[in-house]
Amino acid sequence: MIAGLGGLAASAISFSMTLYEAAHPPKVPVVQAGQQIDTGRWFVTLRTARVGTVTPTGVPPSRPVQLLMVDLDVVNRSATPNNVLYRTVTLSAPAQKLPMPTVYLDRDKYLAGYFNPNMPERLTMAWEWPAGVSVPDKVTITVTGQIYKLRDNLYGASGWYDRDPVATVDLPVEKAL
Amino acid sequence: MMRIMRSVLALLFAAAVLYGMQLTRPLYSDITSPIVSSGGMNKRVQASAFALSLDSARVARVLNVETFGKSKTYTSSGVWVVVEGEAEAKFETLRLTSGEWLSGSGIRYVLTGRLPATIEMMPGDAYQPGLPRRVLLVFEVPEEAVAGGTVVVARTKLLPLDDEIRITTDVSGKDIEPAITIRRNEERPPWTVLPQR
Amino acid sequence: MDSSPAKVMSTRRGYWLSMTALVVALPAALVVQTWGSIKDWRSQFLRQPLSATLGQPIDYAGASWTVTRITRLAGSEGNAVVLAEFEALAADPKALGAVPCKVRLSDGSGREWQPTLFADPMVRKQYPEAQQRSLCGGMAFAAAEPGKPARMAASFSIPPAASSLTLSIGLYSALPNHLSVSEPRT
Repeated sequence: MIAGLGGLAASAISFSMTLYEAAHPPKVPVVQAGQQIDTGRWFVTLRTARVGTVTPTGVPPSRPVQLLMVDLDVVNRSATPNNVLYRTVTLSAPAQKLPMPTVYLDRDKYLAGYFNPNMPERLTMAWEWPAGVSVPDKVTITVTGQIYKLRDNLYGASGWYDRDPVATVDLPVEKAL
Repeated sequence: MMRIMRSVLALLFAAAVLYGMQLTRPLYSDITSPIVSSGGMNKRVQASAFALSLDSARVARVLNVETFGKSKTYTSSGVWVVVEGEAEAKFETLRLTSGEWLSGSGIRYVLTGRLPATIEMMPGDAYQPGLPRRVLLVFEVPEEAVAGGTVVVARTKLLPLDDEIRITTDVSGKDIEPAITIRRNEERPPWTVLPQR
Repeated sequence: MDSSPAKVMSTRRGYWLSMTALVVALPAALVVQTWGSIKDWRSQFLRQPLSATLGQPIDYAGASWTVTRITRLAGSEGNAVVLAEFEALAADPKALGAVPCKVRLSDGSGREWQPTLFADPMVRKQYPEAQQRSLCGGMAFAAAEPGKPARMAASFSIPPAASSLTLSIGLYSALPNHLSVSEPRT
């Protein structure tokens, strides 16, 4: 009886908390380009954004494409290599359904693989923009935080988990002449 | 009265035991961790399914890769570690797909994915029982992760409780060459690490 | 509360009976639960050999199989190369085309080799026809003309000292039964 009432109270509280959070979204700080953002797992510094038709490899694509390319610096702060950046750095405005970005390593002018811990790298993330839609003069990039859990709730396994956004960055888009 | 005391004591004891168990429970990664066989350089280290020995570990600031007459230079924000050795399957054909550099402070670095596929590193080969084969492992690590580093090799990263061989290398982190070249050969072994020493 | 000695005895007996039943029932439930998985796990191994002779057809997994030749060559890297050529005449090649196939070579000391992905240069030079054949499985059956056998080959890279070799061919639909052919003694 008591357990039942307790459970009911708990679900009521959690439901109203969810409602409250949905009604009052936490304010995400706006960060300037060039400023380092600490996501927990990564240090991310967004640099510039531009539109282009050729990927950083310099090899022209087989069919004409419009690419939105964002240059950034990252440092992996965790103890294991990782390459899941597309969940940390996302394009939030304009709201546009885009395929997953491709990540290029500046050093090689080639596709990036894993980012090793404590090894700063400059990269370019390239989103393919839909044909016929013009790229705006300004884009907003959202950087999502991650936290480390020593034991998760299912297996008690350690791992990194996505959290709320920690920063948004407005980048003016340079257009090729 | 005695009875109540006894129940309370029993309850306290149970709570203490449970708390102790909670404090000492192992991590999931400890329960499912691989079964490790370790050793040093120039020794044949045996796991249940395969054996590995490493005979050379070199560190350089720049890595040049020469394939079919073409040369490409790979820079790094850290240094390159080039490790060579020999691996052999013991009972059945297998692949060694996981190679890691474990720094002295416990940070992991995976085999680099930056080299062209024509330079066949360890994961690209199948190992046949009774036919030992030369292996090449190339890592990119920060300079401070070099000294006391350990090479960790396993069949796969995904199987819990599988074999794993750890070989502690002899690199000090002080003897860093300005550049190393890996040249692809037409015959065996499929690569040469230059300058020879 | 009734606390006559007889009543206490029967409650106690009931308690211990339940406890013992639990000890038996719990493992039993576990075994029943996992039996399917255990069976699946066991069935992927080549456990029951169907002894065949070189050159003699034998019925297996809905086809008539013939291991036509097992050849040992000197490899190009100090190894030995074993080339196994075999064919299967299936009543319904399409049905077999989707079934994965497992080919292994084992020796007297229990070592087991998988076929190599690419044939050794020696095979390419001396047995170009065998090199054209595909490995056991769907591709081979798809390429076979109706009424003609599907011709397959597998090549292995082994140490020259390995002896008493046995070739095993298993189709997943027929496991744990598998064909087993010994290398002819020279």
